[in-house]
Amino acid sequence: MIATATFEPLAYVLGIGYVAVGAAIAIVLSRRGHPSGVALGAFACWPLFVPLLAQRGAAPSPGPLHARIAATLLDLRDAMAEPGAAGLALPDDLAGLVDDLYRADERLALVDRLLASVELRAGRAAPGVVQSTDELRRARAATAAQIEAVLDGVVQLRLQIGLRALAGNSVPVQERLRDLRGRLAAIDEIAAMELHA
Amino acid sequence: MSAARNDTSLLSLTVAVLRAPASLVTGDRVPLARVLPGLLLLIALAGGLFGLVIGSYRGGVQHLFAAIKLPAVLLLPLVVTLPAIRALYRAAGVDVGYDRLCFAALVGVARASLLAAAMGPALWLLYSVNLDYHRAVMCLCGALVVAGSIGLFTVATLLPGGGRLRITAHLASFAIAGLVFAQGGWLLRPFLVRPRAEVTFLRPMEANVFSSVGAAWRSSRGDYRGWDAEAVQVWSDGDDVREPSLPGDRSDER
Repeated sequence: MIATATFEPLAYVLGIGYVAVGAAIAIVLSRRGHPSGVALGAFACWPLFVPLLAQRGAAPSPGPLHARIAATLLDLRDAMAEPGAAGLALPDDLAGLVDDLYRADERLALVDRLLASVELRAGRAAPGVVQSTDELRRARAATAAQIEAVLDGVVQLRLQIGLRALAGNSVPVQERLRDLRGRLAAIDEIAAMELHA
Repeated sequence: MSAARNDTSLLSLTVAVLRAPASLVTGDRVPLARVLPGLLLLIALAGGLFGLVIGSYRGGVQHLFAAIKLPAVLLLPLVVTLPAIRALYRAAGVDVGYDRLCFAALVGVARASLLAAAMGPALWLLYSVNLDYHRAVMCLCGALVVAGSIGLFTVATLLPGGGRLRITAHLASFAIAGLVFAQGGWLLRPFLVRPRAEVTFLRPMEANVFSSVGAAWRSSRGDYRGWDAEAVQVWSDGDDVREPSLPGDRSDER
């Protein structure tokens, strides 16, 4: 036999209030362009989705180098967590470097979307549009190359940490990371040079 | 491996949660919108699977009831306690954002749910050999303690460092979440259902988890008065005297 339970009126009021707030947050997130999964989750568990209300729009989609960036940085963290790297704290610069890398990668994703949409109509494009597309493509290639160079630098840094574990030499991790951040900061300048070349 | 870290499909998210939860965070940025629905779905599926195993003790429609209610019990502490927990961490000097806390707590619960689901087959085997009710409860509690401890450890590792009273904040947060989890489980009972008790989706809201624990403690010492008998003694004015609970009643049911 299946029995049913009865509840206090306060429980019903609280339940209706919870559902109403959840529905309101789900609608707001949906209108801001979040996928339906986010809106549905917010309806059921809205206290967990409140931080998304503070964001202005949907999260940018990952770019073409996202996988390599994540793998390289995770490998670096793994290397720094090794016993041989004891005493090497993860500097704050690494968090900044990670942010810079992902932002640059998201800009690549934006450019890729733009180029894809323009190429769909390439047959009807005016000469000026074709020239601008070529310039953007060159700037994109320069930016991608710069990100890849920074990632190679991170790999070198990881190898230096391994060298330190063997030889016991101090490795200027902080300085090396600052150099890499500097290279990332120069991405805009390099892209601008490509555009004006 | 890298694809597993960046692809947000349910399978790759499961791999990331179990093997390297920190890889889901990119620097200081928590991709909440990208991982939150997947983590919720993971908790619903894994928790539901574990609930299915618990429901198998009684069988029948209790399979379904327990599978629906267990994910709710797992998520209730997150929904209710996160603002208080954040205040505790900030008071302890740990600069943690609400988004980071949500992420850490969800990953911790997802990991605990997956581990509980992984223990499901062993628990199912135990329940299928006519295990005594009290032993079945103890097995359930053991599985939850093991999975929950790993989940709590995961939460602690995913939060930012620093703070002089960090350990105190951890302990206080775990105590608050534990209390809400216990009371949530009590409100959404029954899960196992005694062989003689009737199957129901929810019991009426009466007493609390502490009175149940007290009754269970007294039962273990041979005193079979349930929390309802104690409640009558404390609150009745003499007109509403009920018979004390008998062994096998649902007063200390989980």
